Amino acid sequence: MVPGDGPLLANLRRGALEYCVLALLRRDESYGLDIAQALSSDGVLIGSEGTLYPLLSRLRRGGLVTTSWRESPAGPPRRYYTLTTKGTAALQDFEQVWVPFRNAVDRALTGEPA
Amino acid sequence: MSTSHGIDQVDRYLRELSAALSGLPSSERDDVVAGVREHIDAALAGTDDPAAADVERVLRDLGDPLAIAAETTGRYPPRADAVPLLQREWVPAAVVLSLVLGTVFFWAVVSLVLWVLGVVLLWLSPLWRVGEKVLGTLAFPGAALAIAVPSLVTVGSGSDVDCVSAPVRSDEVIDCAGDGGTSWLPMALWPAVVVAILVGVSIVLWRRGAARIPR
Repeated sequence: MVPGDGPLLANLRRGALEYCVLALLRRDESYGLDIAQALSSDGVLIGSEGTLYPLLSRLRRGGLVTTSWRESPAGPPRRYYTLTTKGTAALQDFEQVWVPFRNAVDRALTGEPA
Repeated sequence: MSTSHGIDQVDRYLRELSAALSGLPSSERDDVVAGVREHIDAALAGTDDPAAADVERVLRDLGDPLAIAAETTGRYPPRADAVPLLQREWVPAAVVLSLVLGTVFFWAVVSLVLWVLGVVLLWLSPLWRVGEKVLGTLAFPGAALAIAVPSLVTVGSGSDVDCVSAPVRSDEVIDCAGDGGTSWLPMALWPAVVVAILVGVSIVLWRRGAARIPR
């Protein structure tokens, strides 16, 4: 449980979480459980693992990711999520906005000159 | 014993999740529930007989179904009964069908009533712009007139009969060349063109209206 796991954190997550998922998929396609465990390891990006699934559904409906079934060595076939070109473009747009924004916020918080 | 208990727990969790998502359209709700079910299957994979402790851990990590449902608030379409009556899914179809049926069967009182209701719904609903409403109001009666009037006029004039049977007076020039053979063609073509335009207008109204339904 991260301190302040309330509306403030929820708002911040809302802006950035989907791009974190897209970034994870940009490195490699993955399946739901794996994505959930990767993102929840530090407890910051995601509250409970289940909250990933509305997000994945939205990404798929928006055409930012596609899914396909793959056989898995242990257990049932798994649904893999893959980044689409539209998703890659959206992620790049986010990076162009996020990096200056993050830097500006950090500078404002620490009082460094611009 | 632990097998059925574990599966019962999973079933109960998924049922709670489905209930928590009941405000969503069923396709999206099914999507999320399917994703969570796959997550559970993958997490418990390799064991036909998942221990209760494992099941509890997986479900705990997934979290409260209400928290999952909360992730959908504000970005998913509104609940079905929160959409105003005049903007619901059935409105574009109702308007177009009323207008079409009311026009096609214009001689029947029931159809006229239907047409009036279609026009009223068209004007009251926020799903169309004023220009589209005017188009919808005028296009159908206009088309009915455009088809009905010329056929009444040509039936009345009987020009090909005059060409064939009436004696030709010297001070009158009647050009009959090709009239008998081709006069039927525009009469058949014109209603077809008008119907095609009406079909186009119907499609435009339906799609424009449907595109503005809140989702």
